[in-house]
Amino acid sequence: MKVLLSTKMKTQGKAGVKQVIVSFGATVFALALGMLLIYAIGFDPFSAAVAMVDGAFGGKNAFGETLVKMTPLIFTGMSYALASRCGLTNLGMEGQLYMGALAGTATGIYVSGLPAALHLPLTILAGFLGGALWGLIAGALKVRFGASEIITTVMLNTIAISFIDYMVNGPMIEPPGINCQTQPVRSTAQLPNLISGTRAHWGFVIAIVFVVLFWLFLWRSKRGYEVRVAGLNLSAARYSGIHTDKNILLVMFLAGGLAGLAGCNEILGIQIRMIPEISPGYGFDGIAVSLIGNNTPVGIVIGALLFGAFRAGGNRMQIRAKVPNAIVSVVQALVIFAVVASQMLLDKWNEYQMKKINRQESEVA
Amino acid sequence: MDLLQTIGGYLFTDIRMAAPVLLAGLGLLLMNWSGLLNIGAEGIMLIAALSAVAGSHYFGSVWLGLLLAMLAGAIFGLLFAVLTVTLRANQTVVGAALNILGLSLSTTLNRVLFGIETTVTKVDAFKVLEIPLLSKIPVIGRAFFAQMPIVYIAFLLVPVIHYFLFKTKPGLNLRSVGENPRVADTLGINVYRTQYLATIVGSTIVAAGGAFLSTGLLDFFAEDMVAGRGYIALAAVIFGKYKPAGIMVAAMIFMAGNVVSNVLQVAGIGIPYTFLTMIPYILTIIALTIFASRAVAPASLGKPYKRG
Amino acid sequence: MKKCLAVLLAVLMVFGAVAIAGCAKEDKPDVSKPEETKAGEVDGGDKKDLSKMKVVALLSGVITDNGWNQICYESVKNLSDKYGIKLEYNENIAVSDMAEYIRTYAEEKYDMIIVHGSQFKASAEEMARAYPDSHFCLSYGFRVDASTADQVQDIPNLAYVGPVNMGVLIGAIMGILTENNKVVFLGGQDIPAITDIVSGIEEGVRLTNKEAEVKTDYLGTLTDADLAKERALAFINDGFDVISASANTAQLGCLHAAEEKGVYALGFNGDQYGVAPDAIVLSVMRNYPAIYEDVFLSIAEGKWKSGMVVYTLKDKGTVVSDWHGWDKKLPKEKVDAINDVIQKLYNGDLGDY
Repeated sequence: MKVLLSTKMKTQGKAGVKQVIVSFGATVFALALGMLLIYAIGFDPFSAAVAMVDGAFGGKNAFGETLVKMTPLIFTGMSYALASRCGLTNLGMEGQLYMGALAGTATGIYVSGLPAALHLPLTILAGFLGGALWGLIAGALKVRFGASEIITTVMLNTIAISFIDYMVNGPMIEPPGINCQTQPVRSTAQLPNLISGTRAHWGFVIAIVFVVLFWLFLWRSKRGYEVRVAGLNLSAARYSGIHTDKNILLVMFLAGGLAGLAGCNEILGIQIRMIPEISPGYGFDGIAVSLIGNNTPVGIVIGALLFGAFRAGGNRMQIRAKVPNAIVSVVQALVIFAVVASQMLLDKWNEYQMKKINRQESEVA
Repeated sequence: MDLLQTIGGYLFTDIRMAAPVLLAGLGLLLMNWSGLLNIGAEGIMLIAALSAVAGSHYFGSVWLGLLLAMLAGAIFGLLFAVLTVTLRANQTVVGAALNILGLSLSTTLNRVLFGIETTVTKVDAFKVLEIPLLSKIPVIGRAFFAQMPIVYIAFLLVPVIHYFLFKTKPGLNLRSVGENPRVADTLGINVYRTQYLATIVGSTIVAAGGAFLSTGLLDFFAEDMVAGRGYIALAAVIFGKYKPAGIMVAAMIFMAGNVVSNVLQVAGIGIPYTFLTMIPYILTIIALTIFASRAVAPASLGKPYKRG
Repeated sequence: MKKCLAVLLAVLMVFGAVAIAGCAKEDKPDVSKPEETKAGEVDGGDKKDLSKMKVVALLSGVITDNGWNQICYESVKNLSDKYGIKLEYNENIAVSDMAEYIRTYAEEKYDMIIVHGSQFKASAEEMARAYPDSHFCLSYGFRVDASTADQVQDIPNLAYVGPVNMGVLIGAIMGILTENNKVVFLGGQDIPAITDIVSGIEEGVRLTNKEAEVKTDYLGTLTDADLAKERALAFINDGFDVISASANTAQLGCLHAAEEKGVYALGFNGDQYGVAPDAIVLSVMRNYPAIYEDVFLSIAEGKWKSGMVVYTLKDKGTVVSDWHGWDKKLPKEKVDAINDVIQKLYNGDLGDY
């Protein structure tokens, strides 16, 4: 009996090690498939891989670029994860990101006469609110009308992007009105550089602060607990007296705000002004980031690091190895499939092992 | 009479634009009733749109192109099924990854297959098939009976799938899997096999919608040409209350948004084009909020089923 | 938590493994490089060898978009074919990444960096100031009313390059072709590389047709060819009988619509006759290949010009395709009128275009 118990615990202890091996295997497998694909369409996969790593981690500048790409991904990853924790599917990060960027830009341009110590926080708050209110629309439609947020958030993406096209070509266009972009935000609203000689900016620090807040909210607050319970089973939560409707509204508000910060930080730290197409798909990448991070704070940072490295390295891969960067997206998709599959395979394997032990147990008994 | 003819013209356009969304919606419906929520229709349609052109180009027949597109759809469907049914992975995540894969892979393969030329490769495409006599009916004749064959197929699939889902034993089994897989399992229905079949067959129907985009109205592939129709199809399923006829109505209403945009722009009353672009999407949201009801979705939609 | 650490470890290990595998491979080309350069210098002698010029095109989209990016690809391809330079380009560059791309090439002292699109204006200006040794060409759209001039900054190694008055040429031809006196031009989006054309259409039509109704609007898409076709059909059903569009692949949908309904169309950006041979009378093309060849030679010969580098119709900044037999199909007076107006626009007889 004792022996069996210890085997059981050992099996669980080994799970961590196993997970490393399996996830490693999955990522290698996906990258190998990607390299095979690169070879198949007529490029050198090895120089592509070297360029990719070099572009992501080879030196201060490269790492700075990875941090730049990580920053919005941390926010969109948290946005998706937070909604997920509440049992919601927020596919509207892209739209919320744009609305946050727009609100931040407007505050950064049109509010004047404030010192940076006030203007910058105010602008960031505006960016948060811009995304939050856009997210809240989907939440309200769900609570009030039962409209699935999966659909409404996607529709709101397109609407937001069209609206931004209108704003930067119309009311907010930089005088005299030739280029479809706004004027730059005031210097008091710009995020300072984090590592000199790179483009990495203080938005990264803000992102990390929000990761901590994300953790505090979900695991250290009563509301966060309710949200997680609701996420496990919405109807059960409703019976146990948790106000699910209120939680849905709150979570969509916060999730939208987080995505809004992704856009706002990108404006204040990198772009300085609003233009159409500020996001090369950070919103949808958030899904993958939270998946790899398993909806946990540290995991999201790691997921963002992986996908940030993909984006930074992918650029370098195109420059050095001439590989069209659509391939990077193919590889990203393969990584998602592989990681998902490996996590699930491991779960199955563990189940199987447990069953076997249980069977042995019962035989002994 | 003139007004009636104009309306007939709008209807004609509406039906033609609704066809790909309808096909995608019907395919998704089969998956939904088996309990699987696949948001990857956009990606399936993109890879299908490219495959249709490639097939039509290499085999010289648009029907073989359609076949290749459906095959590509089936492969994507199989991938989805392996990950979500056998491995019980999160369906939304896998669907989102399918979208990424469909977009990037179709872009890459387009380059590999057709190279870099200013004039796109033109291929055999669907032609209008006028049904004699019926197409002469005033006002609606052309709209209903002077379309491309694949449009007829799309609309004929509506009663076929309805009959299958609600009047046949396999259809009943499929729906019971979506409602309560555990009960279905105890009744001796092979849940996994049902879900696999639903996904693969459903994906080929979605793919047919993608094929229509590239070889129906047009005869070439353009990167990202699906432009959100896969998501609109998702909305059509919900708006259509998970019934084929409902999806048909939904697809026609949503695409009427595009007809309205066209009419408004031709009329030239000065609405910024960015707002015209929003119309179909706003229409979709409004339709969902007015008509969405909490109760109609299959009870186990989106939840992985674990046997035993 | 464990899961995350596991993934992190996995990621790092993968990158590490790949780096090791790759580094081992990379050694070889490094050795051979210096030799190559030496050989080149000997060959060139005292005369500047143009094949050693380093040129790169940085693009916002893919080179197969049948439009804006493809024409730039063809420009560098042309340089590569003619002068033996290495063909280098990068696609799908996000606005937020452009500065990084430019920096990479500027650090390597590229002679000519083509930044293709006005949305990259801020990045190009910032980088041009930071790297005075490279020549930067920002592909730009110039409106007919010269209002664009205010946007140009005086940076000695940055040129804003593009043709102008293309829309006037298109409009003038459309004005002659129309029989119902209704012509329409559809842009993809309201961006400088498209508004520059839209801004000249009406003026051009007026040169040849005082009465015609001229409509210009935007499709709101550069990729949704099905939507573009339906939109064009709606215009044609309303009596518009000459159509032209600038919307990358989406514009092909408009050309299809013209062919289906049997009205005239004008191709744009490339010779698009093959897309709809029964509709496309002529194609009008931005002559970026010639423009960038000109700029390339000006750098090579030390005659570089910064600021607004505009190619008018007179400078052949815009070219018109072959008739492809349409001069036989059209009524003779229309053919003559079109030939005549093109000639006059190129000669400057109708004003300073």
